[in-house]
Amino acid sequence: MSTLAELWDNAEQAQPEKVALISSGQRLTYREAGERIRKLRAAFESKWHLRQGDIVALLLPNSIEFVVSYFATVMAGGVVQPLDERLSSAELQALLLDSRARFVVVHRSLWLKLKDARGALQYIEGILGIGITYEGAARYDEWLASEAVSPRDSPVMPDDPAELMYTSGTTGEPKAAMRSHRNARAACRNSRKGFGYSSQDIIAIVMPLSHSSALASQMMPLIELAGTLVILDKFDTAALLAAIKNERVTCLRAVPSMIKLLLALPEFCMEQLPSVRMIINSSATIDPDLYVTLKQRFRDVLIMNSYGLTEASTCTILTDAAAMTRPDSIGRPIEGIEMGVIDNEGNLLADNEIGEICVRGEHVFSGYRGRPQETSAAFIRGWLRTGDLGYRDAEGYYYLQGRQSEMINCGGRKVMPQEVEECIRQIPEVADVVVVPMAHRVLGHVGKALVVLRVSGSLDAKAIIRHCSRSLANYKVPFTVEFVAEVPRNSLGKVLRRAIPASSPPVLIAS
Amino acid sequence: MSSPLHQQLVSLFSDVFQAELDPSIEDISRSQLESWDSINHFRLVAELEQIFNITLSDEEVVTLASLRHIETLLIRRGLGNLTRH
Repeated sequence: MSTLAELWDNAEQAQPEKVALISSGQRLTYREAGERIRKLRAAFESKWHLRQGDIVALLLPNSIEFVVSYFATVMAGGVVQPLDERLSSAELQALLLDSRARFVVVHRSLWLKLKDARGALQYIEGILGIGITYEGAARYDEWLASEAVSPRDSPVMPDDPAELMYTSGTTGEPKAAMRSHRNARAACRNSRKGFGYSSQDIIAIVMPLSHSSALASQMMPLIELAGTLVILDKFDTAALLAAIKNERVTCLRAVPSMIKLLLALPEFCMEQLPSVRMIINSSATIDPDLYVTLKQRFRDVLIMNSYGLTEASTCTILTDAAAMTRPDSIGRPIEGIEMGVIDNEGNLLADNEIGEICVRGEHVFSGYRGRPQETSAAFIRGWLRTGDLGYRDAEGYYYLQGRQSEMINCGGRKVMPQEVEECIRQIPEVADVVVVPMAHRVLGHVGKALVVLRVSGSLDAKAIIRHCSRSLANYKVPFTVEFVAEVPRNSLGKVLRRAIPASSPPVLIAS
Repeated sequence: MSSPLHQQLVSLFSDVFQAELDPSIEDISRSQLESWDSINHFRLVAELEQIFNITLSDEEVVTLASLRHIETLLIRRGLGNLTRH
Protein backbone atom coordinates (compact mmCIF):
# COMPACT_ATOMS: atom_id res chain seq x y z
CA MET A 1 0.00 0.00 0.00
CA SER A 2 2.97 2.34 -0.06
CA THR A 3 3.96 2.82 -3.67
CA LEU A 4 2.60 5.19 -6.25
CA ALA A 5 1.96 2.27 -8.61
CA GLU A 6 -0.47 0.85 -6.06
CA LEU A 7 -2.03 4.27 -5.60
CA TRP A 8 -3.01 4.41 -9.27
CA ASP A 9 -4.05 0.76 -9.51
CA ASN A 10 -6.31 1.01 -6.47
CA ALA A 11 -8.09 4.05 -7.89
CA GLU A 12 -8.52 2.45 -11.30
CA GLN A 13 -9.85 -0.76 -9.86
CA ALA A 14 -12.23 1.08 -7.55
CA GLN A 15 -13.69 3.45 -10.16
CA PRO A 16 -12.74 2.25 -13.68
CA GLU A 17 -15.51 4.12 -15.48
CA LYS A 18 -15.32 7.34 -13.52
CA VAL A 19 -13.86 10.39 -15.29
CA ALA A 20 -10.36 10.86 -13.91
CA LEU A 21 -8.77 13.53 -16.09
CA ILE A 22 -10.24 16.45 -18.01
CA SER A 23 -8.04 18.78 -20.03
CA SER A 24 -8.07 20.65 -23.35
CA GLY A 25 -11.29 19.03 -24.50
CA GLN A 26 -10.19 15.49 -23.55
CA ARG A 27 -11.89 13.36 -20.90
CA LEU A 28 -10.38 10.09 -19.75
CA THR A 29 -11.83 7.59 -17.33
CA TYR A 30 -9.57 5.82 -14.85
CA ARG A 31 -9.61 2.75 -17.11
CA GLU A 32 -8.73 4.74 -20.25
CA ALA A 33 -5.96 6.64 -18.50
CA GLY A 34 -4.66 3.40 -16.95
CA GLU A 35 -4.43 1.79 -20.39
CA ARG A 36 -2.37 4.72 -21.65
CA ILE A 37 -0.11 4.54 -18.62
CA ARG A 38 0.55 0.81 -19.15
CA LYS A 39 1.20 1.29 -22.87
CA LEU A 40 3.64 4.10 -22.24
CA ARG A 41 5.35 2.12 -19.49
CA ALA A 42 5.74 -0.80 -21.90
CA ALA A 43 7.32 1.52 -24.47
CA PHE A 44 9.67 3.02 -21.86
CA GLU A 45 10.82 -0.51 -21.00
CA SER A 46 11.05 -1.92 -24.51
CA LYS A 47 12.30 1.08 -26.48
CA TRP A 48 14.27 3.06 -23.91
CA HIS A 49 15.17 0.02 -21.79
CA LEU A 50 14.32 2.15 -18.80
CA ARG A 51 15.91 0.68 -15.69
CA GLN A 52 15.05 1.17 -12.05
CA GLY A 53 16.33 4.49 -10.82
CA ASP A 54 16.62 6.05 -14.28
CA ILE A 55 15.56 9.68 -14.32
CA VAL A 56 12.87 10.78 -16.76
CA ALA A 57 12.51 14.55 -17.04
CA LEU A 58 9.05 15.86 -17.86
CA LEU A 59 9.09 19.17 -19.72
CA LEU A 60 5.35 19.45 -20.08
CA PRO A 61 2.66 21.97 -19.35
CA ASN A 62 -0.20 20.91 -17.08
CA SER A 63 -1.85 18.22 -19.18
CA ILE A 64 -3.18 14.68 -19.29
CA GLU A 65 0.15 13.70 -20.83
CA PHE A 66 1.89 14.89 -17.68
CA VAL A 67 -0.17 12.56 -15.49
CA VAL A 68 0.21 9.62 -17.89
CA SER A 69 3.98 10.12 -18.26
CA TYR A 70 4.38 10.54 -14.50
CA PHE A 71 2.71 7.25 -13.61
CA ALA A 72 4.28 5.34 -16.53
CA THR A 73 7.69 6.39 -15.22
CA VAL A 74 7.20 5.56 -11.55
CA MET A 75 5.46 2.25 -12.31
CA ALA A 76 8.48 1.20 -14.37
CA GLY A 77 10.77 2.05 -11.46
CA GLY A 78 11.95 5.33 -12.94
CA VAL A 79 12.28 8.65 -11.16
CA VAL A 80 10.29 11.63 -12.38
CA GLN A 81 12.04 14.98 -12.68
CA PRO A 82 9.31 17.55 -13.35
CA LEU A 83 10.67 20.66 -15.05
CA ASP A 84 8.99 24.03 -14.73
CA GLU A 85 7.98 25.20 -18.19
CA ARG A 86 8.91 28.77 -17.22
CA LEU A 87 12.60 27.92 -16.89
CA SER A 88 14.99 29.38 -19.44
CA SER A 89 17.06 27.12 -21.68
CA ALA A 90 20.12 27.87 -19.55
CA GLU A 91 18.26 26.90 -16.38
CA LEU A 92 16.91 23.74 -18.01
CA GLN A 93 20.41 22.85 -19.07
CA ALA A 94 21.73 23.33 -15.54
CA LEU A 95 19.01 21.15 -14.02
CA LEU A 96 19.36 18.40 -16.61
CA LEU A 97 23.12 18.36 -16.20
CA ASP A 98 22.75 18.20 -12.43
CA SER A 99 20.25 15.33 -12.51
CA ARG A 100 21.85 13.50 -15.47
CA ALA A 101 18.38 12.54 -16.65
CA ARG A 102 18.56 9.75 -19.25
CA PHE A 103 15.25 10.57 -20.90
CA VAL A 104 13.01 13.55 -21.53
CA VAL A 105 9.34 13.77 -22.40
CA VAL A 106 8.72 17.15 -24.03
CA HIS A 107 5.69 18.99 -25.36
CA ARG A 108 5.90 20.80 -28.70
CA SER A 109 5.37 24.19 -27.03
CA LEU A 110 8.60 23.67 -25.07
CA TRP A 111 10.66 21.91 -27.72
CA LEU A 112 12.66 24.99 -28.76
CA LYS A 113 13.65 25.63 -25.16
CA LEU A 114 14.92 22.10 -24.82
CA LYS A 115 16.76 22.31 -28.14
CA ASP A 116 18.61 25.37 -26.86
CA ALA A 117 19.74 23.48 -23.76
CA ARG A 118 22.40 21.94 -25.98
CA GLY A 119 24.95 21.28 -23.26
CA ALA A 120 22.57 18.86 -21.57
CA LEU A 121 21.16 17.18 -24.67
CA GLN A 122 24.39 15.28 -25.32
CA TYR A 123 23.72 13.20 -22.20
CA ILE A 124 20.06 12.55 -22.97
CA GLU A 125 19.61 9.06 -24.45
CA GLY A 126 16.00 9.37 -25.47
CA ILE A 127 13.47 12.12 -26.19
CA LEU A 128 9.76 11.48 -26.43
CA GLY A 129 7.97 14.34 -28.16
CA ILE A 130 4.32 15.24 -27.85
CA GLY A 131 3.17 16.85 -31.10
CA ILE A 132 6.72 16.97 -32.47
CA THR A 133 7.88 15.59 -35.80
CA TYR A 134 11.58 15.81 -35.27
CA GLU A 135 13.77 12.93 -36.31
CA GLY A 136 15.65 12.91 -33.03
CA ALA A 137 12.51 12.44 -30.96
CA ALA A 138 10.17 9.47 -30.66
CA ARG A 139 6.50 10.24 -31.09
CA TYR A 140 4.15 9.95 -28.13
CA ASP A 141 1.13 9.11 -30.30
CA GLU A 142 2.98 6.24 -31.95
CA TRP A 143 4.05 4.79 -28.64
CA LEU A 144 0.49 4.94 -27.35
CA ALA A 145 -0.80 3.30 -30.54
CA SER A 146 1.41 0.27 -29.91
CA GLU A 147 -0.27 -2.98 -28.92
CA ALA A 148 2.26 -3.70 -26.21
CA VAL A 149 0.89 -3.26 -22.71
CA SER A 150 2.95 -3.67 -19.57
CA PRO A 151 1.73 -5.87 -16.73
CA ARG A 152 0.14 -4.29 -13.72
CA ASP A 153 2.90 -5.59 -11.45
CA SER A 154 5.46 -2.97 -10.69
CA PRO A 155 9.02 -3.69 -9.53
CA VAL A 156 9.09 -0.72 -7.17
CA MET A 157 9.39 -0.82 -3.39
CA PRO A 158 8.21 1.88 -0.96
CA ASP A 159 11.67 3.26 -0.31
CA ASP A 160 12.68 3.48 -3.96
CA PRO A 161 13.03 7.04 -5.25
CA ALA A 162 10.03 8.32 -7.17
CA GLU A 163 10.50 12.06 -7.65
CA LEU A 164 13.34 14.50 -8.04
CA MET A 165 11.91 17.87 -7.12
CA TYR A 166 14.18 20.83 -7.62
CA THR A 167 13.62 23.33 -4.87
CA SER A 168 12.35 26.65 -6.14
CA GLY A 169 15.71 28.19 -5.36
CA THR A 170 14.39 31.50 -4.15
CA THR A 171 17.30 31.79 -1.77
CA GLY A 172 20.13 29.81 -3.23
CA GLU A 173 21.42 27.21 -5.65
CA PRO A 174 18.66 24.80 -6.72
CA LYS A 175 18.92 21.38 -5.13
CA ALA A 176 17.19 18.16 -6.10
CA ALA A 177 15.00 16.93 -3.27
CA MET A 178 14.52 13.17 -3.60
CA ARG A 179 11.16 11.80 -2.57
CA SER A 180 10.56 8.09 -2.27
CA HIS A 181 7.27 6.33 -2.98
CA ARG A 182 6.76 6.15 0.78
CA ASN A 183 7.38 9.91 1.18
CA ALA A 184 4.97 10.72 -1.66
CA ARG A 185 2.26 8.43 -0.28
CA ALA A 186 2.60 9.91 3.19
CA ALA A 187 2.41 13.47 1.79
CA CYS A 188 -0.68 12.44 -0.14
CA ARG A 189 -2.28 11.00 3.00
CA ASN A 190 -1.52 14.20 4.92
CA SER A 191 -3.12 16.39 2.25
CA ARG A 192 -6.21 14.19 2.16
CA LYS A 193 -6.61 14.46 5.92
CA GLY A 194 -5.71 18.12 6.14
CA PHE A 195 -7.97 19.39 3.38
CA GLY A 196 -10.69 16.79 3.85
CA TYR A 197 -10.86 15.87 0.16
CA SER A 198 -13.48 13.28 -0.78
CA SER A 199 -13.99 10.90 -3.70
CA GLN A 200 -16.78 13.21 -4.89
CA ASP A 201 -14.40 16.11 -5.30
CA ILE A 202 -13.58 17.65 -8.67
CA ILE A 203 -10.47 19.77 -8.37
CA ALA A 204 -9.30 22.47 -10.77
CA ILE A 205 -5.51 22.30 -11.09
CA VAL A 206 -4.19 25.61 -12.35
CA MET A 207 -0.93 25.73 -10.42
CA PRO A 208 2.02 24.03 -12.16
CA LEU A 209 2.17 20.26 -11.72
CA SER A 210 5.94 20.59 -11.91
CA HIS A 211 5.82 22.01 -8.38
CA SER A 212 5.29 20.12 -5.19
CA SER A 213 2.17 22.01 -4.19
CA ALA A 214 0.03 20.93 -7.15
CA LEU A 215 1.65 17.53 -7.51
CA ALA A 216 1.66 16.29 -3.93
CA SER A 217 -1.27 18.19 -2.49
CA GLN A 218 -3.74 18.23 -5.38
CA MET A 219 -3.06 15.63 -8.07
CA MET A 220 -1.98 12.77 -5.84
CA PRO A 221 -4.66 12.89 -3.12
CA LEU A 222 -7.45 13.28 -5.67
CA ILE A 223 -6.21 10.27 -7.62
CA GLU A 224 -5.85 8.23 -4.44
CA LEU A 225 -9.52 8.97 -3.75
CA ALA A 226 -10.50 8.35 -7.38
CA GLY A 227 -11.70 11.93 -7.65
CA THR A 228 -11.69 14.02 -10.84
CA LEU A 229 -8.91 16.37 -11.99
CA VAL A 230 -9.70 19.31 -14.24
CA ILE A 231 -6.27 20.28 -15.52
CA LEU A 232 -5.66 23.75 -16.97
CA ASP A 233 -2.47 24.40 -18.90
CA LYS A 234 -2.25 28.04 -17.91
CA PHE A 235 -3.87 30.55 -15.60
CA ASP A 236 -6.54 32.38 -17.54
CA THR A 237 -9.34 33.81 -15.42
CA ALA A 238 -12.07 33.36 -18.04
CA ALA A 239 -11.01 29.80 -18.87
CA LEU A 240 -10.80 28.91 -15.20
CA LEU A 241 -14.25 30.29 -14.44
CA ALA A 242 -15.67 28.42 -17.44
CA ALA A 243 -14.04 25.19 -16.28
CA ILE A 244 -15.36 25.61 -12.74
CA LYS A 245 -18.86 26.22 -14.10
CA ASN A 246 -18.93 23.55 -16.81
CA GLU A 247 -17.24 20.78 -14.86
CA ARG A 248 -18.89 21.63 -11.55
CA VAL A 249 -15.54 21.99 -9.82
CA THR A 250 -15.69 21.63 -6.04
CA CYS A 251 -12.13 22.54 -5.03
CA LEU A 252 -9.77 25.23 -6.23
CA ARG A 253 -6.24 25.87 -5.06
CA ALA A 254 -4.51 29.11 -6.01
CA VAL A 255 -1.87 31.59 -4.92
CA PRO A 256 -2.91 35.02 -3.60
CA SER A 257 -2.04 36.82 -6.85
CA MET A 258 -4.39 34.49 -8.75
CA ILE A 259 -7.14 35.03 -6.18
CA LYS A 260 -6.72 38.80 -6.53
CA LEU A 261 -7.17 38.57 -10.30
CA LEU A 262 -10.20 36.31 -9.98
CA LEU A 263 -11.82 38.70 -7.52
CA ALA A 264 -11.65 41.39 -10.19
CA LEU A 265 -14.37 39.44 -12.00
CA PRO A 266 -17.86 39.87 -10.52
CA GLU A 267 -18.84 36.35 -11.59
CA PHE A 268 -16.19 34.88 -9.26
CA CYS A 269 -18.72 34.41 -6.48
CA MET A 270 -20.67 31.68 -4.76
CA GLU A 271 -23.91 32.43 -6.57
CA GLN A 272 -22.33 32.03 -10.01
CA LEU A 273 -20.19 29.05 -9.02
CA PRO A 274 -22.41 27.04 -6.68
CA SER A 275 -20.42 23.79 -7.03
CA VAL A 276 -17.37 25.23 -5.25
CA ARG A 277 -17.08 24.02 -1.65
CA MET A 278 -13.43 24.79 -0.88
CA ILE A 279 -10.83 27.36 -1.95
CA ILE A 280 -7.27 26.76 -0.82
CA ASN A 281 -4.75 29.56 -0.63
CA SER A 282 -1.28 28.27 -1.31
CA SER A 283 2.44 29.10 -1.38
CA ALA A 284 2.21 32.56 0.14
CA THR A 285 0.38 34.06 3.07
CA ILE A 286 -2.95 35.56 2.15
CA ASP A 287 -3.45 39.20 3.00
CA PRO A 288 -6.22 39.56 5.65
CA ASP A 289 -8.10 42.07 3.46
CA LEU A 290 -7.99 39.66 0.53
CA TYR A 291 -9.23 36.87 2.78
CA VAL A 292 -12.18 38.98 3.95
CA THR A 293 -13.10 39.94 0.36
CA LEU A 294 -12.91 36.29 -0.68
CA LYS A 295 -15.03 35.24 2.27
CA GLN A 296 -17.64 37.88 1.41
CA ARG A 297 -17.93 36.44 -2.09
CA PHE A 298 -17.94 32.82 -0.90
CA ARG A 299 -19.56 33.00 2.54
CA ASP A 300 -20.52 29.29 2.68
CA VAL A 301 -17.31 28.04 1.12
CA LEU A 302 -14.35 26.75 3.12
CA ILE A 303 -11.32 28.99 2.69
CA MET A 304 -8.21 27.08 3.70
CA ASN A 305 -4.63 28.20 4.13
CA SER A 306 -1.70 25.87 4.29
CA TYR A 307 2.03 25.81 4.85
CA GLY A 308 4.47 23.42 3.29
CA LEU A 309 7.77 23.04 1.54
CA THR A 310 9.15 20.90 -1.24
CA GLU A 311 11.06 18.74 1.22
CA ALA A 312 7.96 17.85 3.26
CA SER A 313 4.89 18.90 1.23
CA THR A 314 1.89 20.31 3.10
CA CYS A 315 2.47 20.36 6.85
CA THR A 316 -0.07 22.70 8.44
CA ILE A 317 -3.61 23.82 7.73
CA LEU A 318 -5.30 27.01 8.86
CA THR A 319 -9.01 26.43 8.75
CA ASP A 320 -11.63 29.04 8.07
CA ALA A 321 -12.71 29.31 11.67
CA ALA A 322 -9.15 29.75 12.89
CA ALA A 323 -8.34 32.30 10.17
CA MET A 324 -10.96 34.65 11.59
CA THR A 325 -9.14 34.87 14.91
CA ARG A 326 -5.56 34.16 13.80
CA PRO A 327 -5.16 35.63 10.30
CA ASP A 328 -1.38 35.78 10.68
CA SER A 329 -0.95 32.10 11.60
CA ILE A 330 0.02 29.30 9.22
CA GLY A 331 -2.22 26.96 11.19
CA ARG A 332 -1.73 23.73 13.09
CA PRO A 333 0.11 20.59 11.94
CA ILE A 334 -2.02 18.03 10.15
CA GLU A 335 -2.77 15.06 12.40
CA GLY A 336 0.17 12.67 12.25
CA ILE A 337 2.78 15.30 11.42
CA GLU A 338 5.31 16.07 14.14
CA MET A 339 6.32 19.70 14.26
CA GLY A 340 8.32 21.83 16.64
CA VAL A 341 10.46 24.91 17.08
CA ILE A 342 14.14 24.40 17.79
CA ASP A 343 17.19 26.42 18.70
CA ASN A 344 20.52 26.20 16.84
CA GLU A 345 21.51 23.06 18.76
CA GLY A 346 18.28 21.28 17.92
CA ASN A 347 16.69 21.67 21.36
CA LEU A 348 12.93 22.04 21.29
CA LEU A 349 11.78 25.45 22.45
CA ALA A 350 8.79 26.31 24.60
CA ASP A 351 5.60 27.93 23.28
CA ASN A 352 5.98 31.51 22.04
CA GLU A 353 9.77 31.24 21.77
CA ILE A 354 11.13 32.10 18.33
CA GLY A 355 13.33 29.52 16.67
CA GLU A 356 13.50 27.42 13.54
CA ILE A 357 10.41 25.44 12.62
CA CYS A 358 11.15 21.75 12.14
CA VAL A 359 9.11 18.73 11.06
CA ARG A 360 9.45 14.98 10.94
CA GLY A 361 7.49 12.05 9.65
CA GLU A 362 7.24 9.72 6.68
CA HIS A 363 6.39 12.61 4.37
CA VAL A 364 9.81 14.19 4.84
CA PHE A 365 12.06 13.78 1.81
CA SER A 366 14.95 11.33 1.60
CA GLY A 367 17.72 13.87 0.96
CA TYR A 368 19.27 16.07 -1.71
CA ARG A 369 20.55 13.98 -4.58
CA GLY A 370 24.33 13.88 -4.74
CA ARG A 371 24.67 16.43 -1.97
CA PRO A 372 25.46 14.61 1.30
CA GLN A 373 26.64 17.77 3.04
CA GLU A 374 23.49 19.72 2.24
CA THR A 375 21.40 16.72 3.24
CA SER A 376 23.19 16.41 6.54
CA ALA A 377 22.78 20.15 7.16
CA ALA A 378 19.05 19.90 6.48
CA PHE A 379 18.49 17.59 9.45
CA ILE A 380 19.20 17.91 13.14
CA ARG A 381 18.40 15.21 15.70
CA GLY A 382 16.02 13.59 13.24
CA TRP A 383 14.14 16.80 12.51
CA LEU A 384 13.99 18.44 9.09
CA ARG A 385 15.07 22.04 9.46
CA THR A 386 12.64 24.06 7.38
CA GLY A 387 14.79 27.20 7.36
CA ASP A 388 11.71 29.12 8.44
CA LEU A 389 11.80 31.07 11.66
CA GLY A 390 8.70 31.15 13.76
CA TYR A 391 6.97 30.19 16.97
CA ARG A 392 4.02 28.18 18.26
CA ASP A 393 1.37 29.58 20.56
CA ALA A 394 -0.16 27.77 23.52
CA GLU A 395 -2.96 26.37 21.35
CA GLY A 396 -0.51 24.79 18.92
CA TYR A 397 -0.82 27.35 16.10
CA TYR A 398 2.35 28.24 14.26
CA TYR A 399 3.45 31.67 13.09
CA LEU A 400 6.19 32.49 10.60
CA GLN A 401 8.76 35.15 11.31
CA GLY A 402 10.67 34.86 8.03
CA ARG A 403 13.27 32.60 6.52
CA GLN A 404 16.46 32.11 8.44
CA SER A 405 18.46 32.02 5.24
CA GLU A 406 16.99 35.36 4.17
CA MET A 407 17.96 37.08 7.36
CA ILE A 408 20.14 40.17 6.96
CA ASN A 409 22.97 40.29 9.43
CA CYS A 410 23.63 43.98 9.95
CA GLY A 411 26.64 44.33 12.19
CA GLY A 412 25.56 41.32 14.23
CA ARG A 413 21.95 42.42 14.43
CA LYS A 414 19.45 40.18 12.66
CA VAL A 415 16.97 41.81 10.32
CA MET A 416 14.10 39.87 8.83
CA PRO A 417 13.38 41.39 5.39
CA GLN A 418 9.69 40.57 5.75
CA GLU A 419 9.35 42.89 8.71
CA VAL A 420 10.84 45.80 6.76
CA GLU A 421 8.77 44.93 3.69
CA GLU A 422 5.62 44.91 5.80
CA CYS A 423 6.50 48.35 7.12
CA ILE A 424 7.09 49.80 3.64
CA ARG A 425 3.93 48.17 2.32
CA GLN A 426 1.91 50.32 4.70
CA ILE A 427 2.72 53.36 2.56
CA PRO A 428 -0.32 53.84 0.28
CA GLU A 429 1.80 54.74 -2.78
CA VAL A 430 3.72 51.45 -2.60
CA ALA A 431 2.45 48.59 -4.77
CA ASP A 432 5.16 46.02 -4.01
CA VAL A 433 8.49 45.81 -2.24
CA VAL A 434 11.33 43.44 -1.52
CA VAL A 435 14.20 44.00 0.87
CA VAL A 436 17.49 42.28 0.16
CA PRO A 437 20.91 42.32 1.76
CA MET A 438 23.55 44.61 0.32
CA ALA A 439 27.21 44.10 1.19
CA HIS A 440 28.66 46.69 3.52
CA ARG A 441 32.36 47.01 4.17
CA VAL A 442 31.97 47.25 7.92
CA LEU A 443 28.56 46.04 8.93
CA GLY A 444 28.64 42.93 6.75
CA HIS A 445 25.27 43.55 5.22
CA VAL A 446 22.68 46.26 5.23
CA GLY A 447 19.19 46.31 3.77
CA LYS A 448 18.34 47.54 0.30
CA ALA A 449 14.68 48.09 -0.57
CA LEU A 450 13.45 47.63 -4.12
CA VAL A 451 10.15 49.44 -4.35
CA VAL A 452 7.41 49.37 -6.98
CA LEU A 453 5.22 52.48 -6.84
CA ARG A 454 1.59 52.50 -7.89
CA VAL A 455 2.30 55.73 -9.76
CA SER A 456 5.84 56.33 -10.92
CA GLY A 457 7.47 59.34 -9.26
CA SER A 458 4.75 59.72 -6.64
CA LEU A 459 7.20 59.24 -3.79
CA ASP A 460 10.90 59.72 -3.22
CA ALA A 461 13.35 57.52 -1.37
CA LYS A 462 13.57 59.97 1.51
CA ALA A 463 9.90 59.50 2.32
CA ILE A 464 10.32 55.73 2.50
CA ILE A 465 13.36 55.97 4.76
CA ARG A 466 11.52 58.45 6.95
CA HIS A 467 8.54 56.14 7.20
CA CYS A 468 10.75 53.18 8.17
CA SER A 469 12.65 55.25 10.69
CA ARG A 470 9.41 56.01 12.43
CA SER A 471 8.48 52.35 12.88
CA LEU A 472 11.67 50.34 12.92
CA ALA A 473 14.93 50.18 14.81
CA ASN A 474 17.55 52.04 12.82
CA TYR A 475 19.51 48.92 11.88
CA LYS A 476 16.37 47.63 10.14
CA VAL A 477 15.91 50.77 8.06
CA PRO A 478 17.21 50.16 4.52
CA PHE A 479 20.39 51.97 3.65
CA THR A 480 19.24 52.47 0.09
CA VAL A 481 15.98 52.55 -1.78
CA GLU A 482 15.73 51.74 -5.44
CA PHE A 483 12.60 52.15 -7.52
CA VAL A 484 11.93 49.28 -9.90
CA ALA A 485 9.21 48.33 -12.39
CA GLU A 486 8.52 44.99 -10.75
CA VAL A 487 9.73 42.57 -8.11
CA PRO A 488 10.89 39.28 -9.65
CA ARG A 489 8.67 36.41 -8.54
CA ASN A 490 8.47 32.77 -9.57
CA SER A 491 5.35 31.11 -10.94
CA LEU A 492 4.10 30.55 -7.40
CA GLY A 493 4.41 34.18 -6.47
CA LYS A 494 7.50 33.73 -4.31
CA VAL A 495 10.07 36.52 -4.49
CA LEU A 496 13.14 35.38 -6.40
CA ARG A 497 15.64 37.01 -4.09
CA ARG A 498 18.62 35.47 -5.84
CA ALA A 499 17.44 36.95 -9.17
CA ILE A 500 17.91 40.46 -7.85
CA PRO A 501 21.24 41.83 -9.03
CA ALA A 502 23.50 42.74 -6.16
CA SER A 503 25.04 45.57 -8.13
CA SER A 504 21.90 47.60 -8.74
CA PRO A 505 22.82 51.26 -8.55
CA PRO A 506 21.45 52.60 -5.30
CA VAL A 507 19.32 55.70 -5.01
CA LEU A 508 20.33 57.29 -1.77
CA ILE A 509 18.14 59.12 0.59
CA ALA A 510 19.63 62.50 -0.16
CA SER A 511 19.19 62.19 -3.91
CA MET B 1 25.33 83.53 6.04
CA SER B 2 26.24 79.83 5.78
CA SER B 3 27.65 78.34 2.61
CA PRO B 4 25.64 76.07 0.27
CA LEU B 5 27.85 73.17 1.41
CA HIS B 6 27.04 73.85 5.07
CA GLN B 7 23.32 74.05 4.29
CA GLN B 8 23.52 70.80 2.38
CA LEU B 9 25.23 69.08 5.29
CA VAL B 10 22.61 70.31 7.75
CA SER B 11 19.93 68.92 5.47
CA LEU B 12 21.80 65.62 5.19
CA PHE B 13 22.18 65.40 8.97
CA SER B 14 18.46 65.99 9.37
CA ASP B 15 17.71 63.09 7.02
CA VAL B 16 20.25 60.62 8.35
CA PHE B 17 19.66 61.27 12.02
CA GLN B 18 15.95 61.92 11.59
CA ALA B 19 16.37 65.09 13.62
CA GLU B 20 14.85 68.53 13.17
CA LEU B 21 17.87 70.81 12.96
CA ASP B 22 17.84 74.57 12.81
CA PRO B 23 19.09 75.48 9.30
CA SER B 24 21.32 78.16 10.84
CA ILE B 25 23.04 75.80 13.26
CA GLU B 26 26.81 76.22 13.13
CA ASP B 27 27.90 72.87 14.35
CA ILE B 28 26.63 69.74 16.03
CA SER B 29 28.66 66.85 17.33
CA ARG B 30 28.22 63.16 17.89
CA SER B 31 27.75 63.62 21.59
CA GLN B 32 24.92 66.09 21.03
CA LEU B 33 22.86 63.86 18.78
CA GLU B 34 21.33 60.88 20.49
CA SER B 35 20.55 59.18 17.18
CA TRP B 36 24.20 59.35 16.05
CA ASP B 37 25.00 55.74 16.85
CA SER B 38 27.21 53.31 14.93
CA ILE B 39 24.53 52.33 12.42
CA ASN B 40 23.61 55.91 11.58
CA HIS B 41 27.28 56.79 11.51
CA PHE B 42 27.80 54.34 8.66
CA ARG B 43 24.62 55.58 7.03
CA LEU B 44 26.13 59.07 7.08
CA VAL B 45 29.40 57.77 5.62
CA ALA B 46 27.54 56.02 2.79
CA GLU B 47 25.64 59.20 2.02
CA LEU B 48 28.73 61.37 1.98
CA GLU B 49 30.56 58.96 -0.33
CA GLN B 50 27.62 58.77 -2.69
CA ILE B 51 26.69 62.43 -2.81
CA PHE B 52 30.23 63.80 -3.07
CA ASN B 53 31.61 60.91 -5.07
CA ILE B 54 34.45 60.31 -2.65
CA THR B 55 35.88 57.38 -0.74
CA LEU B 56 36.65 57.98 2.87
CA SER B 57 39.60 56.16 4.37
CA ASP B 58 39.04 53.91 7.35
CA GLU B 59 40.74 56.48 9.51
CA GLU B 60 38.51 59.28 8.25
CA VAL B 61 35.48 57.12 8.78
CA VAL B 62 36.19 56.50 12.43
CA THR B 63 37.15 60.08 13.22
CA LEU B 64 34.11 61.84 11.77
CA ALA B 65 32.68 63.43 14.86
CA SER B 66 30.88 66.66 13.98
CA LEU B 67 29.27 68.62 11.20
CA ARG B 68 32.10 71.15 11.22
CA HIS B 69 34.66 68.38 11.03
CA ILE B 70 32.98 66.93 7.94
CA GLU B 71 32.70 70.34 6.33
CA THR B 72 36.42 70.95 6.86
CA LEU B 73 37.25 67.56 5.41
CA LEU B 74 35.22 68.24 2.28
CA ILE B 75 36.73 71.71 1.81
CA ARG B 76 40.19 70.20 2.14
CA ARG B 77 39.27 67.85 -0.68
CA GLY B 78 38.32 70.80 -2.86
CA LEU B 79 34.57 70.30 -2.55
CA GLY B 80 33.85 73.50 -0.67
CA ASN B 81 32.21 75.32 -3.56
CA LEU B 82 30.23 72.42 -4.88
CA THR B 83 26.69 71.50 -4.17
CA ARG B 84 25.84 67.98 -5.12
CA HIS B 85 22.50 66.35 -5.56
